[in-house]
Amino acid sequence: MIKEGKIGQSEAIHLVTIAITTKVFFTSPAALMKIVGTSGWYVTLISAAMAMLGFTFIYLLLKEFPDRDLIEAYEKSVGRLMGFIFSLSLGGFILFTTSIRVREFAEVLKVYTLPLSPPSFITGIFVITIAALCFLGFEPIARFARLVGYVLIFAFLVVILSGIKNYEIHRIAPLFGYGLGKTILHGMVRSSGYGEVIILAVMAKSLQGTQHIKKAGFLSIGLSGILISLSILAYTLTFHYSVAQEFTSPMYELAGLIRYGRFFQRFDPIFIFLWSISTFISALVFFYTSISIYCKIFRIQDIRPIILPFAVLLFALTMIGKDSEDIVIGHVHIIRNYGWLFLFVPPVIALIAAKIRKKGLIESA
Amino acid sequence: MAGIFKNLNSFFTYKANQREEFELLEGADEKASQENNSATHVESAIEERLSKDIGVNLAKIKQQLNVPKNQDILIREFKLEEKIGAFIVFIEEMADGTTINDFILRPLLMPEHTAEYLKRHKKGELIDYIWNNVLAINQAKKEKEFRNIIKKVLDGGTALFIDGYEECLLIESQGYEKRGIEAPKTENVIRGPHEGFNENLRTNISLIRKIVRNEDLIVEFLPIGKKSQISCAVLYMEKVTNPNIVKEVKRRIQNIDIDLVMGAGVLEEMIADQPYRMLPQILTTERPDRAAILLIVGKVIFMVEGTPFASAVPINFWECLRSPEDYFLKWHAATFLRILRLFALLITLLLPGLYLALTLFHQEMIPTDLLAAIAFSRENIPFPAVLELVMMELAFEFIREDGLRVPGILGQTLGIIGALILGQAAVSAQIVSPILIIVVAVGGIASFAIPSYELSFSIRLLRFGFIFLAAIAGFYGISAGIILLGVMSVSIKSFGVPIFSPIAPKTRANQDVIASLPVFMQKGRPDALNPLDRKKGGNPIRRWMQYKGGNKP
Repeated sequence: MIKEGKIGQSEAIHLVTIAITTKVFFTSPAALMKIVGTSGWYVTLISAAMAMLGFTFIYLLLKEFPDRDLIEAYEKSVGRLMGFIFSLSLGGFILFTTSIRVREFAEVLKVYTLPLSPPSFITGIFVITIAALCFLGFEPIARFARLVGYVLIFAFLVVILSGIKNYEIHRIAPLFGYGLGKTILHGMVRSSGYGEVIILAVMAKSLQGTQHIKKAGFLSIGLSGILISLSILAYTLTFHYSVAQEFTSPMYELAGLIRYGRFFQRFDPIFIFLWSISTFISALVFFYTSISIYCKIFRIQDIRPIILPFAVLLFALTMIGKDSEDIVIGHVHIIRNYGWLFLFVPPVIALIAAKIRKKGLIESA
Repeated sequence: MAGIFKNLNSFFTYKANQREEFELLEGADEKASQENNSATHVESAIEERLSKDIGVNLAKIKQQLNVPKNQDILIREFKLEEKIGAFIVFIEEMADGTTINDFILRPLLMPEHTAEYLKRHKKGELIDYIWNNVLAINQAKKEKEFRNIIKKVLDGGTALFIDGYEECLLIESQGYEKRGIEAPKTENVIRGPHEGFNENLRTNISLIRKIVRNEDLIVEFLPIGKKSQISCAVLYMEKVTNPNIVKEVKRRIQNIDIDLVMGAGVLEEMIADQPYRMLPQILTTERPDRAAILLIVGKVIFMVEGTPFASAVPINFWECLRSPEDYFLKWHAATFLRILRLFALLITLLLPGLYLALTLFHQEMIPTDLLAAIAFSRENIPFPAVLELVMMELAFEFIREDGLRVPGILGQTLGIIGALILGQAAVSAQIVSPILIIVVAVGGIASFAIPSYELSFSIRLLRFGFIFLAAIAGFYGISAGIILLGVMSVSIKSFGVPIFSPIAPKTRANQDVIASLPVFMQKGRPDALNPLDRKKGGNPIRRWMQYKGGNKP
């Protein structure tokens, strides 16, 4: 039997919030600015609202099947075959997202701090670390997220608040960016930016009941929305939007500009730890979730023998992208724009199927 | 060669995890309590019993104790009332000579003490009569099994055998040499008591009983080590401590199959949940007052004969950052000191690695003035920074180890002189940079601020891991190390209690974690321990605050 342990609501919120907000350190904010201009800071709030809507369907589906996780709920609602397809596509999507996150991290790290190190070296260390930690199970990952959660949020706020003297309020204009229609449309499409919340549904048995999942899910999306919005707002206020679009990591640039006196000149060191640790947690939990989904689909009772092959697979996937541009413009773009198809559509179909089946059962009775 | 193939095979083939983990769950307390009281110390085998014939008993005792080969085992044969054969057996220097001569042998050899009884009752219950009327000893018991008799004699007791009886009298006569009660050597305080444990188990228990004068303080003795049979005392509060923990501690101690357990250190390694992890899972103290506090909050204490330390389980990481001094200081001072120690821990662990990462990979992050200072100081150094750092860290460890090995004041002098001369000479010879000396020294000094010796040692070792990671990948490597260490650490449990509770996982608010609230606000016992009694203070603790003018309402 897969023994994933039990986690509390607080641990779940920390874990999912860290997993979601990590992407703010990479190329996504700059890409968002390229698409919607200066309205990025509230586009993400629209995405968060859409993700909440998507999560509501996930929650309703789990409510139909109490004491079961998402994988089992798929099977119970749409049958073994369709459930298998839904779960496999979700697992594959999560593994692919993990690989892109690891590679994106490696590329950004290469640009800023380790210019001479090959990506394989950086991703190699990353994959070995997360694979080793997967052997310990899901519970310690959530616990560690809880332990460092406050520290990470504190460091994040320090970076945001320390740059306050570089903020210029006029840079927020035009308020609707490239147009309100475009802003809302992209806000809705990019709801997959909050897709990490699905971890709660896959690991539902580790949480104590559907009510806990509901609360943890909505709170973590809300909290992440605020944090991501704050960071996008901070660099929108710091850099002119035409300049901000060009940065590989706008948050890193933001931290580099901080200067208080002769000694406190740059806050990059704080930023690197914040960035690396949250990426490790994020990729680790995603990697673990993908293995867990695979084991659940194929009724594998122990995840440990699967970790090593998955680690090799993850490393191979991270190496597929040709270069930084290929990753950012190609893969990340695909994940952000079409991720919702894997994350939020199957639960809606499964929920409708479950409702129809239930109705049929009641009528036949 | 076969071992290598076996290891390779186990790496590629699946083997299900057979180990059952102990979990401290709520609600299982009652069942465990019943089991704990009734069946924890079941002796399965019926041991060989005493014979009525004293000759048989004497021969058996000589055989079991290897007499006369064993020359410190003394057997004194005599006759009661000049006709009933008897003998006593004890170990020289383990038993007290005065007790044996004046309070056991002298009364027994005086005919008037037993003559009256023998006249009236013939033999009857002579052993009871001797115990009730003849011996001037405060503690003794009747025993029928050879195994228990041998055990008691080896522990310094005296066994009295009388012809015609299938039982003997085991008399308390321990009198071996022991160290007096001295001030603790590793846990000094300014305001608290200056009493520390010594190597005598009974003395140590009495020191705790002197503080916890409560009938619920239970002391159970368990023998450990097949050959050594050293006594291990398990102490807990009957109506406070979760019986599951008591049961688990006793189960683990009783199921150690080894010839010799040389003190608490070995025992801790034997019973720890995850012995391969570096962080301590058992808290040791050499202070009776601290042991008493740990007992009162619901922990189980165990002490081994010959070890001047008490060990407490289950523990959490935050307790390793507490010093006994904290209990005697005001809450704000205690909180400040704990934060300082946490900071010291981080400095010990990360400072050398951070220095290396900055100088090797992230020079642009160092403020210009500091960068210039580091660059100038490293200008003429022939070694790469990593080698320079490892050399100095090792030199510091040599000095520390020598300071411990060289006796007395000479050790301290050696440490100071060694550090000063070595550091100064190394800088003058341009082998290492002055900034590196500062980094190593600050890291070394900070390690002494960690109150737990086990934790301090673990951190010192882990520091080398971080140096390695910093050398290969700078801050990124250190981050990988932090996450590896962090996730591995939070997965550790100490007797079913997660070691980073009550923060990760979050359990009910505890007023004494890093920040210590005033003592009068610390009403509850740690939730993670699932104690039977969750309150350790009234509501409010300071009842006098409710009374006005000194009168009860």
